[in-house]
Amino acid sequence: MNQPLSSASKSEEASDGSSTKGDHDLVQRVQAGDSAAFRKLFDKYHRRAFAVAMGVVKNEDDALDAVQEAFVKVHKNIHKFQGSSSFYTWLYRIVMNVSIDHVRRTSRRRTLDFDERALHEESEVAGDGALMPSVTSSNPGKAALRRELGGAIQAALQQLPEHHRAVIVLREIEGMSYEEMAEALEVPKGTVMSRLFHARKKMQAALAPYLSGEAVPED
Amino acid sequence: MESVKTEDEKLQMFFDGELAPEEEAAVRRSLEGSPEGMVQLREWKQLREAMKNASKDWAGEIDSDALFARIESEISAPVAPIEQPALRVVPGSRERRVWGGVATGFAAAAAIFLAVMAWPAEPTIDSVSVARGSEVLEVDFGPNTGTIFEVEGGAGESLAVVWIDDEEVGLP
Repeated sequence: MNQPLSSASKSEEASDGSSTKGDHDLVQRVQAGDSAAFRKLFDKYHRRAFAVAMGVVKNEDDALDAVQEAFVKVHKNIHKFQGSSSFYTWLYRIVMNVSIDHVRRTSRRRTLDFDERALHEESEVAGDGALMPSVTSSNPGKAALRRELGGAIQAALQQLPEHHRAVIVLREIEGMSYEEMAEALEVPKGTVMSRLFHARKKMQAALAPYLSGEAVPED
Repeated sequence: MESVKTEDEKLQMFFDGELAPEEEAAVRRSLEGSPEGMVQLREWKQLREAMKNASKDWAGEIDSDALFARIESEISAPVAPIEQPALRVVPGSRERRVWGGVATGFAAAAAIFLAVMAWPAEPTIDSVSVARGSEVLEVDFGPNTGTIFEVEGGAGESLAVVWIDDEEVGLP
């Protein structure tokens, strides 16, 4: 029997140093007007927030915009944060909502611009293909393959409905527990599980060429 | 867990570390005779690792200081006065004099109901003097979105309704 493949997600928060108590102390300092504490919260979470946003929006610029908007909202509304949930659950809810809203706005704009864009389609060969860099024969290395896989993952994520995308990003990238996801997304835990199962199924189908089902060598 | 779980649910919960110890042990035992289950777990694991790696690559590209500077500048920017919706109306049906004015303030999820047609000559909104029979040509919704439409009043008169959306997006 191989090593069991289960993982204890609940321990991840503590293991990466993002203790709830420490966050609450920082939040209280921000509420009292301490801008250095706000910077600390930013330093602690912005990369993870960015990764979450990247799983939802289409490119880096949009993800940066989403993280910026999310932290501005956090700052603006920090006085409303009561500490009944963990700060990072609250933050990710905002990041997720802002990102989803960003996608909606972009897709609305895209629909409006469609006719014009269609006229220029030929000259936009690269387009969103920038997310899916091709692996040329001159670049067969591991880094290139990893990059290709990263692009494939992002493309696959874009094909998922928003609610599926949200759960799989929060679970696989952020390592949230079912309980935390239910809280962040404001849906029942059973809904989280069901969405996660279907999201995984779709991702597996989309990434079938990359997933062998064979044992993965440990790093 | 309160409800009866399907095999798929159990397997997923096992993978995510969400089962109670005794359930986890049971799934572990059942996996010994289930190559399909093991393949499923490995694919999930590969997917997780690939997503984690991809997210590390994404996050590695951030210029943190530049991003924080953007946030700081937005936070410390002086609060712009709330743009009030502006109306452009044509008083009377013949006179083409167009003017702009500030209409009403708006609150969360507020609707502004502006009766232009067939209202008493004396305006009820301080900064807007709208004559009977005026026609709404345009509304500047400022940073919001909105819709202008016409409805029929109780006396059969035509009323212009200006609806302003004021949703705060992204907040829980």
